[in-house]
Amino acid sequence: MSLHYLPAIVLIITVLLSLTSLSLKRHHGIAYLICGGGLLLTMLSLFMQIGKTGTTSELFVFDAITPFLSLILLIVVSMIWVQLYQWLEALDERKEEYYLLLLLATLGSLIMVASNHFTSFFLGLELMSLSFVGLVAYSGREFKGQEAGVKYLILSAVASALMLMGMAILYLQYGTLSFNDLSMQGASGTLPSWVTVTGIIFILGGMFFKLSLVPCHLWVADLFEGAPLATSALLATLSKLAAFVVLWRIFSLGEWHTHAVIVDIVAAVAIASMLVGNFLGLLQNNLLRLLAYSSIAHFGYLLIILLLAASPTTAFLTSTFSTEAVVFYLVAYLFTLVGVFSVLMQMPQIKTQQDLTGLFWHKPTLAITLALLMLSLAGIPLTIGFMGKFYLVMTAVNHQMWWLLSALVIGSVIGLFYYLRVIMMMIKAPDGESDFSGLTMTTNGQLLNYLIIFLVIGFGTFPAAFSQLIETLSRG
Amino acid sequence: MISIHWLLFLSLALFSIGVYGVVARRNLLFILLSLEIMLNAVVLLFIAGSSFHGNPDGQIMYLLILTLAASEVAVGLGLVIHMYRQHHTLDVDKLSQLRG
Amino acid sequence: MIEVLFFIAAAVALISAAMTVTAHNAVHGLLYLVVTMLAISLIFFLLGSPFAAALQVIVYAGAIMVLFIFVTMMLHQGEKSLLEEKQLFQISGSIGAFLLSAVLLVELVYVLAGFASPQLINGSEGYFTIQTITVKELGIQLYGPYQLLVVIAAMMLLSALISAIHIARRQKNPMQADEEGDQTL
Repeated sequence: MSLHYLPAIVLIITVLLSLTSLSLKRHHGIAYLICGGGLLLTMLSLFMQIGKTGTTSELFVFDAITPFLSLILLIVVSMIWVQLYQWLEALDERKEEYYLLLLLATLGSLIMVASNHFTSFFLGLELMSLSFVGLVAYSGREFKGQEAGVKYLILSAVASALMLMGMAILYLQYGTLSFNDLSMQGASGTLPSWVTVTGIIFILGGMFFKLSLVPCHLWVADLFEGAPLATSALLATLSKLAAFVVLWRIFSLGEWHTHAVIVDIVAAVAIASMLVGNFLGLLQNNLLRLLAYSSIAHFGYLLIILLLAASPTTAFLTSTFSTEAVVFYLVAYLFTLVGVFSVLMQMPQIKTQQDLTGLFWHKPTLAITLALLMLSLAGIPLTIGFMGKFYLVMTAVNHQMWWLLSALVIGSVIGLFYYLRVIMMMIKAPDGESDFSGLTMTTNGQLLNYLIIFLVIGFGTFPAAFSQLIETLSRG
Repeated sequence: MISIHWLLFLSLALFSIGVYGVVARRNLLFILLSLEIMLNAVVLLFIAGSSFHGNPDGQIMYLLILTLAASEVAVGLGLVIHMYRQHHTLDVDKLSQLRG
Repeated sequence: MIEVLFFIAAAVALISAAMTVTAHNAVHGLLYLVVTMLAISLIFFLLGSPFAAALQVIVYAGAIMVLFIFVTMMLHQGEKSLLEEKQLFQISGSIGAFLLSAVLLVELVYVLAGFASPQLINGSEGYFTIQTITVKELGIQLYGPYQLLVVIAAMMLLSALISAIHIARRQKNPMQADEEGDQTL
């Protein structure tokens, strides 16, 4: 086994260690520390691989950008881990299994991000989804969590069955499961080419479920609301990032943009997601549901990147520019979203926008952090979210995708309303009804808030350093 | 002689029956059964591709899907038991606290 | 000849799958599903994959379905379901499943008796040249290039185990549940 497998092996050892200590003696603190130590070691082992020249094995791709994306994933998981101790203490459940399932889900997403073969992609996906079923239905006494668990199990199973069907059709057509051989369009196809298109549509359908894009978006709000808060945070970040990275890789390696039907479908889904996601967000009062709808819209924006190869490029753009745009947008969105969730985890009793009334006058740090994050989600200048959107719009303009661009602009304007409404609520004078006395700030939480503010503003104001890093990585 | 088109047709027909089951049935147990039918349809195509092209990838995929089916059923049945204890029914429509 | 066998098996698979989906009684549905699995296993055999066919019978029709049946039986305990038991054990209700599996049995006997052998299929456009993959070849692949995947598959089973145990724990009385849980884990 090569050095490239090291992160996965470290995680597996952590899981086994944690399981052993669990069977000897149940202790929340020990489980917490083992989980954190494992995450740290995995990050170190990934850090060693960054910048090394890429090799590709049959199952996994180890280019320069993959360890970077995996590292981002682990940073996101660690940011959630930091607050997990206090959050789980408040939960009337057994605590230790949460860490086990968290580690297994992380392992699955790492495998997925690095996969270069349908078998590794599928296994990583299933490892992640099955762990997520456990995480979603974690607190069994709550009916909501149980309902969300049942819904997630059924939908993720249907999604993976659809994807598997697509894989099987492509396998029958080309006789290979490797992503590298996907682009042999029609060369050795045993069946007519419409079969290939059918297979691709199956895979895209499954992916749209996983990314909760428009025709398959109905479950995501229920899930975000019903699942435990930390699980919603993981669902919004970990599972979506991994799914999108794989979709992006398959789409570009398989040269799916050569099929006109596929391009039309993806464009229609992208436009519908931007508009529907933002409209539904506008009508929402529940904060978690609002976040769910905003994530539909954001992944709608990201779908633009998939279509880039289909349209003519203007001369001054390099081919790595779209890579840069994807990575920047993903990082910006993930950090912002994980920030929002960690702020929400610090005030567990707040569910709707009304609950936020006058927060600014009681807990200014929390309110300012949340306000900044909302601005970043809306894409206001001087935040990291703006830079992400800026990259996206630039690439879209250069490829002259006016339809998608106008949908993006309309969607963003609608989105602005509800993001700003959250901020307005917090600034409003307290009406005496809302009670924030139960909020206790922990040092962990406060440090995390400062870190989030630093990241959002820092990268928003000086994006050059970060984008240069991504540029060198995507070249190498 | 078995034509590959017939296999594709059979597999897609089984898959559609499974999809119908998932959509139409309200009993969680039957939804899980329908999911098994869908997975079986997929598995059939993988094995067909494996012997058609003569490479072992399809059979390996079969083994992995078998593992998946077992784990999915285990988790799904865990939910079934839990749901039955709390609601004394397996009707998925009874789970409707999360609305709008 | 192979063609006829394939069509019969396919018809059995389709019919019993449709019966599974439309069955009212869970046990009947399960029986029909077992028949579907057996029919698919026969098709695997016809396609020249005896190993997959065997696994289909042992793991799918055997282990996974037994899991289902255990749970179905578990949910039917108590006095109320004693009345339903009468219906559950009616033979007339499962006569369809019996007939379908009888058709399969006849087919299998026919194949095994050597009247039709899978090697007869020859290849032309869109048809099969059966290339049998031996178990040895499969094992070499699995523990060669795919070795990490075997570990990941094990992790997937572990994850399913943890989730299932955690979800299905009895949790009416927290104190009691903890004691009970510690004994079972």
